[in-house]
Amino acid sequence: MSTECYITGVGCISKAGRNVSEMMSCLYGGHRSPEVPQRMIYKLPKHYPVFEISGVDAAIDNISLHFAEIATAEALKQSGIDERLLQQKKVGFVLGSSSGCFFNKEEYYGQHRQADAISAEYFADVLFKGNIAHHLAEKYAAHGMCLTISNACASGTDAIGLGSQLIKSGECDIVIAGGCDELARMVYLGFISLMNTSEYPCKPFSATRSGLNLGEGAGICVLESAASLEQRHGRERVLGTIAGYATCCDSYHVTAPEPDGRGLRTALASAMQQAGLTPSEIAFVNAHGTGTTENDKVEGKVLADVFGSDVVVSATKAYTGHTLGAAGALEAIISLQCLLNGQIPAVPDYDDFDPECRVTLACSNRRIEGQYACSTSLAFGGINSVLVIGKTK
Amino acid sequence: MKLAVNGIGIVSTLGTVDSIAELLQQSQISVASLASSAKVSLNFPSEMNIPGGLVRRMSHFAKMAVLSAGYALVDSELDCRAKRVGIIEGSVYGPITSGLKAFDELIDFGDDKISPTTFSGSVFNAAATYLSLAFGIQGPILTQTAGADTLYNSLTMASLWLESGMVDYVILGVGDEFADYFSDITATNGSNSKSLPTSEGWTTLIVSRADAEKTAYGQLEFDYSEQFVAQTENQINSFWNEDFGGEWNSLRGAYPAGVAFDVALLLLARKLQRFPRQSADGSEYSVSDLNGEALSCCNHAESGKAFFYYRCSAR
Repeated sequence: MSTECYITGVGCISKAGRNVSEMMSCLYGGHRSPEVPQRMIYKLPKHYPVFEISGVDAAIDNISLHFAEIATAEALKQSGIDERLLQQKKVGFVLGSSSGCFFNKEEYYGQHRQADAISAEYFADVLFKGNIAHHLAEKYAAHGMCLTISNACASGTDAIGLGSQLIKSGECDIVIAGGCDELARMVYLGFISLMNTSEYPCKPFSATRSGLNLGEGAGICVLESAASLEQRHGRERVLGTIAGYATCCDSYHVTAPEPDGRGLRTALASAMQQAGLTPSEIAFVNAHGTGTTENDKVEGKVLADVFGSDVVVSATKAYTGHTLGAAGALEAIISLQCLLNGQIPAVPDYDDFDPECRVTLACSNRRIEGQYACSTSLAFGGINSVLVIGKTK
Repeated sequence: MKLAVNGIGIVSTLGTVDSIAELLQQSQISVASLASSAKVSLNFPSEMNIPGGLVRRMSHFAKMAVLSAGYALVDSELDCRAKRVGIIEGSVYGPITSGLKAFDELIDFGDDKISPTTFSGSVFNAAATYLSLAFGIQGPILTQTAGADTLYNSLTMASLWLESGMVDYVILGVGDEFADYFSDITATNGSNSKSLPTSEGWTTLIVSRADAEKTAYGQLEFDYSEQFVAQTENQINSFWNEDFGGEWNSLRGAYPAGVAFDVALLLLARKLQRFPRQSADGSEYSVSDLNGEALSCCNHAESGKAFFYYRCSAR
């Protein structure tokens, strides 16, 4: 694997914005508005705010796919790749989703339990086959590898990382890679049962952090090989590169991170080695930063050890919420945009950083210099995944 | 692409690799004599040294994956802690029993009564997580679902990891669990649909680079074609839907990820030089000797527009 993997288009949708430009304006403007869920109906004694995208028709059959379609259309438009080209080349679709869209099927299941007239084939296909990558590939009549990654909260990062491996190995010319997830009752209520959801707007790396806020959305990157760019004379389309990717497992606990962050340290070292970079060449790190006690403590400690305690860190789940399978993809896109803009967004509304986390976030938008950034994802099951993202020179 | 196969672990209604190897020594296998249970029985041998507390926390889905990986590791004699090992787990349906149980808890007991254990067990990558915990694996870990493409995609990603030098070995597991709800659907809707599973199982291969010096089961070559390649004598159709010829479905029961079992059975058959062929009426399999031939199987891609081919050979 020696060839470059270029990013030629990005697209997204989240509570922070319905496209990349809107999202970055929201982040740089310091606006965030987690609210009581509107689309889900539930009975709980108290509410936990979420970053829910407004105006989504609840009748849409697969909202995650709907989000992925919106983000893909934006990314493809920016890349200048039309549907005809997608059908001519070896195109992979690698999509991350925390549950393969299973958790949004509660209503179907309820109908089935009431012996409603759902055909057996429909039940099995709709309920269990959460193959979002295939659904998206079908829309574009593309043929090539379709992979739906379910690596919990690292799914989006891993989808982009594995997509870059498909490009670098020559298996694909173009990969549509990213992640998507929607707010579903099961996820909302399940996270509350795990007691890591906050009743207040989340505060990553704060001394008074009390948990995460869930969110929803999609982030999509168009990844492309040098040969594909050359063939279509698309060099001017290049926004950046996936310079490095690594993932490894803690093998420590089902839900808790390994206290010393061994897995994250290894993943960071491997990703930077692959990129041929030293820590001093990383302009900033977009941290996983969920706002949960243990995640932020371990992650902060590792980032300070690896990059030094004056490392510039952003934690953008404060604006998007934790979008699970989409999170790593949205944050990869944010990282690239920050590199291109030379600026990372401030954390909103707080400055009581936890000294135990050992990293300090910017209280105002901060200028950055450099070519490369790291984006980290820590997930259920002890997964640690890292992308090294470069901007065009 | 090609991989070397160093170990196989099977959890199935037919039993483990050892019991299947015994079956292949018979001259005929009567379908009526095979286990009729849809679910596999799961007992962790003490020599796997997996803590009882960890096993108790696993769902049935995770237990299938971990037990099958345990068998494969014993078979391969791979020391996971001494080598760079990755995990790739694939399933068409995922942990459906845990997922449906979580739905049941919400519907039956209320929105504030979902158990955190049930919820965390319903997360798709729970099986790979328990596998990493059971065997102390700290390498890359991937859980993916891709319908009929699941096995092919898992092999492709394993090949990329091995070729790029990320790892030396991959524990590659593919399987599906049977849920009681499949029986309920059939009872409720009066359907005898062939698109519903009748069984379950998990297959794990320990794979390394194709140029590995030692390989217990030879090489596995895999490719896809947009055209169906005519069947040869030693090729089976491994389609999930029996209408298209799931030739070993009667042996193992039908489930979407069953092609992984079929590939493992081919690897075993090639090693033992014993190959089971289905009779015309489907009531039995006659097992005959081979003469060193390569064996292959074919299954339909999820898109419906391509076919995957898996070929097992000595080198």
